[in-house]
Amino acid sequence: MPTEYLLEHGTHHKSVTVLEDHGDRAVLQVGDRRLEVTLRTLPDGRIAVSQDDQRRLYRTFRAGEETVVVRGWTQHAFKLTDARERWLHGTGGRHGDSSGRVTASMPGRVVRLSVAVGDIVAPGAVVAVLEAMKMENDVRSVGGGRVTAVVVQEGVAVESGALLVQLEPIGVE
Amino acid sequence: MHKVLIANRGEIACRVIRACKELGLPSVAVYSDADAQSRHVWLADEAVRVGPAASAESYLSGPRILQAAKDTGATLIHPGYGFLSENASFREQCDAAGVTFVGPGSYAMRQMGIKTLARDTMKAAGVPVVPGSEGPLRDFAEAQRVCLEIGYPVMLKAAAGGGGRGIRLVQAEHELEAAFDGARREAAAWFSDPTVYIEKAIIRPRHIEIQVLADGHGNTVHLFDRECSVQRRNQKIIEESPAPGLSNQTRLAMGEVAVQAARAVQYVGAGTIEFLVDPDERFYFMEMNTRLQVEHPVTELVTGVDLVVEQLRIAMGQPMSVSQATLSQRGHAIECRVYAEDPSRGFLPSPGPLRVYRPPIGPGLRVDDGVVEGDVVSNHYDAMIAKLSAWAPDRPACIGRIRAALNTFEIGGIQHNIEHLLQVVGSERFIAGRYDTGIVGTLPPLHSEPEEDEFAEALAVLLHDRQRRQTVLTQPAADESTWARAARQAGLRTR
Repeated sequence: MPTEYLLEHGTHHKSVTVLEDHGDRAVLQVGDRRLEVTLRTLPDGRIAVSQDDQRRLYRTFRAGEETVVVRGWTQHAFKLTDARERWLHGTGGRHGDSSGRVTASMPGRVVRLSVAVGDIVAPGAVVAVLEAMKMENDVRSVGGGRVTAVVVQEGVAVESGALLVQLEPIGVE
Repeated sequence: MHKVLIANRGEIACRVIRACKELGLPSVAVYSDADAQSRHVWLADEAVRVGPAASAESYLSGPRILQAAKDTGATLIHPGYGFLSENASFREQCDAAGVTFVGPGSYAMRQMGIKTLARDTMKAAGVPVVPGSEGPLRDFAEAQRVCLEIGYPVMLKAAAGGGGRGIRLVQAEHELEAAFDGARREAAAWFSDPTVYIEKAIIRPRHIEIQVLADGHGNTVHLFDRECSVQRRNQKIIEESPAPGLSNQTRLAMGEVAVQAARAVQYVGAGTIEFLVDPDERFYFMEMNTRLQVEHPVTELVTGVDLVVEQLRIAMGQPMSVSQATLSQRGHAIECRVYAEDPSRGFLPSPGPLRVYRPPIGPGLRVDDGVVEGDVVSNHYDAMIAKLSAWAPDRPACIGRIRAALNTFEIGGIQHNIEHLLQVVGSERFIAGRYDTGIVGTLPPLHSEPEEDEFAEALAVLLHDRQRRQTVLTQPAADESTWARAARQAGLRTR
């Protein structure tokens, strides 16, 4: 499910489409170029992005509405928007991201799943409940969308960052 | 037991504190309100507030610095460079207060501090000077007469000047009057003294300087040359040692002349004689800096001598630990000055938060800095935040090393000149080692817009980052442990 993003850099902007996103591997399209990248977070906080023949190391920090991407001595400030988020006003949530992946925010046991494949989920809705350290915690989605997969079952233990539920965007137009 | 107060801030304060630690001497930092959280403050054994952010009321205030020395029992004051380092009357106030100023006597500072006096003194000592006016110009008519005598082009310079201010190049007679008035105005504004003098302009000059060291036991040596021709608006940005392409014969002749110059003013301590060198390797005395230079690391890297340690030893009355016969230049060193300034906006100062700051480390690299990641670069002081130096067995290897190091210098949040530094050290003329003070002007302007690939990779990074932020808290900097950080914070709280 390709997702189109708009990256603004100063007065320039470019449309970049995420064709596939598997967390540590992604396929992107910019203009007529198709890039397959693998991503890894290094212990010192840098994010390593590898393509076929090169690897680049990045750091990021927030500056107001923009995120600054630093590679060595270069830095570029970007503002990121995507059509789906704008439509659903899905902002704020903590457990998941705009790629439609709802992930575990901590290691724990899935005590309840609130959605099934085909359900339509509103931004910020509770999709699951995790138990960790004798506490139950709601897992909410960031954006909204239609559930395409429920990856875990009730009662299983999951690691932090594990994919729980996959959503797909609902058409804008 | 001696105790050293460092009357400075930033990288040079940190540099001097390091030498104190190596000598086992307790150190006292001073700071203005803008620097209360600065690196030099927590690096020193003690720290004293000396005033508000404005330099005139803090780092430039002799009485406040002396009071801080008195309060802490400091016996030595190291002035670093800039601020009070070339202030002869401060030196005399130190003497009167019974505190040892780490530097030459006030006689040498005065003789060399007034440029026209320095010229005359050097001429008398047999040191070659650029042909020009005898002492300060009395009026415009005298300026005209001198120019006719020595021939155009000429340079007009402020007698009390330095740092490239109050300087005018005059190509022909019809430009002289406007330049004369302009230089006088600028000299009056910067140095409260409109006096100017004239020198014959050397075409395509190189700026090469000689490091000298003299102790109170009659020993004066030189520590060879530094090439300082890479300048932007008369400010040095890259220095190297040895000067590429300079014949050994000229190098040694310059060294001998520099020793002669230092002896002529009974110099004690570390100092630098700056020369202009023309394409035929004729060299002329330009000025003497009666202090430690910003670019001293390149000399330390090729000679293996710690100049600050020698300064402190000499100030404590000990003989220097080196002799001319044992000194030699080994390998090659290059220093690049990293400034918080914006090359895309005419190199305007770019103060602000250093959100990312991870200088490179590795064999043959040296970083002199006074900041840590998370610091705010203040708009009150100099825009130089770090000096990155590389040493290697030969010049090509050294260029390779400094380029690789610059490329991996992680810095973000402020604008800086690293791309410009890379442009210079990667330029044909620099690599060939055949350049003069005009080199920076020959380079095309920079423009850095992200490529298509970078947009795409940036998106991948942004998305990856979002996921990560849910689970990972802030990472400690690679070069400090969480324990060290916790200890430092605890230390600051109790101060």
